[in-house]
Amino acid sequence: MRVAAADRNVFGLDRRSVWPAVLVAVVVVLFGAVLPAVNHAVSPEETIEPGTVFDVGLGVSFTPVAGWLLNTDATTPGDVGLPGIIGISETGVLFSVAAEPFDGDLDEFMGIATDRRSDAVDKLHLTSPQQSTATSQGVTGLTETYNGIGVQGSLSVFVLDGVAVTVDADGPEGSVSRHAVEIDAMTQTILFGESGLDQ
Amino acid sequence: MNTVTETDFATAVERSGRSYAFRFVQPHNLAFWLYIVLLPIGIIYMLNLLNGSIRAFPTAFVLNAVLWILYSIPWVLFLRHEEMYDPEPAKLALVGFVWGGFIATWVMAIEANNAIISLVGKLGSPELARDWGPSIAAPFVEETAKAMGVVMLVLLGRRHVRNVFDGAVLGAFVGLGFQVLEDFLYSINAATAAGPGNEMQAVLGQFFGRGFMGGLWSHALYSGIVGAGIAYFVTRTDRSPGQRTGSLMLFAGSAWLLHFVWDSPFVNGTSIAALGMIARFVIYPLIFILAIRWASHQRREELGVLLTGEVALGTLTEEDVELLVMSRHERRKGLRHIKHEDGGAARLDERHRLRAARDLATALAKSHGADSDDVEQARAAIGTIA
Repeated sequence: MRVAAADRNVFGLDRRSVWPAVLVAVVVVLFGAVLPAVNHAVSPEETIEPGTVFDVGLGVSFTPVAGWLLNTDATTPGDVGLPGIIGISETGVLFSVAAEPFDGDLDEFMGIATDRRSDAVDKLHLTSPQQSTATSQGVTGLTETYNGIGVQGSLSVFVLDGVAVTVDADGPEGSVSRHAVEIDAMTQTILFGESGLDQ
Repeated sequence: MNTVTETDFATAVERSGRSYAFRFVQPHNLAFWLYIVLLPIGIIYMLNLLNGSIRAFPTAFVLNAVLWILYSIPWVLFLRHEEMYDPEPAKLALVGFVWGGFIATWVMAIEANNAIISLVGKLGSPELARDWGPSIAAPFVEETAKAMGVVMLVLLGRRHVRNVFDGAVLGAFVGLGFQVLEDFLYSINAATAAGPGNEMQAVLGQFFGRGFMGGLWSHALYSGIVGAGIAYFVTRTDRSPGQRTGSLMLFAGSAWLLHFVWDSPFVNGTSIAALGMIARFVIYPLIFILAIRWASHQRREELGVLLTGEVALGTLTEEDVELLVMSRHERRKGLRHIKHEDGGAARLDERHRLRAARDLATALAKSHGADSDDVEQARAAIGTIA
């Protein structure tokens, strides 16, 4: 763009481009910095504090990542003798850990858990075959990922001493991949045989 | 054939935008410096985000890149299609593509989308965030981020944004860049999530799922609409500020609404899958085709104005110009009629004349109607065709 001297400001810039470019810069800062800062500043009561441990029930517990929200609608706490489910959320992802009595083996329970997800998610299809996984406690399990219409998810199961644990994370397309590291970290914190911690 | 005044001709030349070359490097333009600052930020953000995945799955990365480049090719062909007569400068379209792919995506949308969905969860409920978060955040954030790309193109190549059609095409390129890089991220994430041995399957699944089953070039459609609105606001200075602002809001609102519905549980959810498929494969493409046909009709009228003088000079016949300003469908019928009357060779000659006539129109626009070397060469080329 050729610019006449009269159209330039003190910095030698074309006056006509300055304000529109400043407007673009303001929107960039708003989206890239201000909105994330506002989000970090807003902290509702259900925000999970660092060091929190949830007792799911039947002696199973896990340590969530700080900053996620306790999803009370998706939570039915159990206790030492009762099954339960704890749900926590972040940017549209619902991560839930459920414990229940189960006498079968790991493969059998994975089939049951997959069927349950198929009932809940329309047009569910697996995007990776079952793979072996393990918690930090050393309990081995199975994991798989899936897609449905508008939904992405990952499913892991563990079975130990008559207790089965289902770990499911689902959310809008792309959201679960984005939180894959946190989901994996929380899954690894699952402990069997521990209870009486935070509710 | 209607007569064409000098004013009509000058207007057609001005609207063609072909009389000015596009240069990206503009040290006196603040928009240029803003672009130069933001682009490396976007690239670094992307590399930081994808670095681990790319190192872990280099083959999947290459396959991913090849697939999404192939996905972009139809748009490049569209840009260069002869029916366009006056294609946008490739450099300007590339600047728009890069804004959409590296700045709108990584510098603006990714953090803002996450922030808004998270806020919906905190201030509303986690279920609201999961079910409606993307449709609340994405239309606002992504359409605005891409619209800023169109504004940048106007600031960098003002003389090439002469009408609504220019805005639609350039907006579509910003949207295409956004979609390709966003889907590239999804695909590489899916490869990472699928793990070793399954990464290629995951990449292919994402490509067909997001690129085709999820709707063809959806971001290009939205941004094309927004781009048309911005171009209307900028170019239609004969209208009142209220009319221009209202039209801009109408175009932007339409794109926002389409994007909102697309991301909402109505289309993208688990309950009305059939409606979603109809929207993706029938309604949305239809809207896009109608918009392009409408804009293309405006372009053909300008073509007629630029070439009318050539009838008086004897370079072209009235039939040539009439064929050029017809719709593609009508022109095919006209060419079939020529074949029926005068044989296949005559039809082929006429097609060559029409192609050369488009080149002449471009040369006339560049020279503002003067008999430049390009104009004379284009006329000579037409003269060699019987």
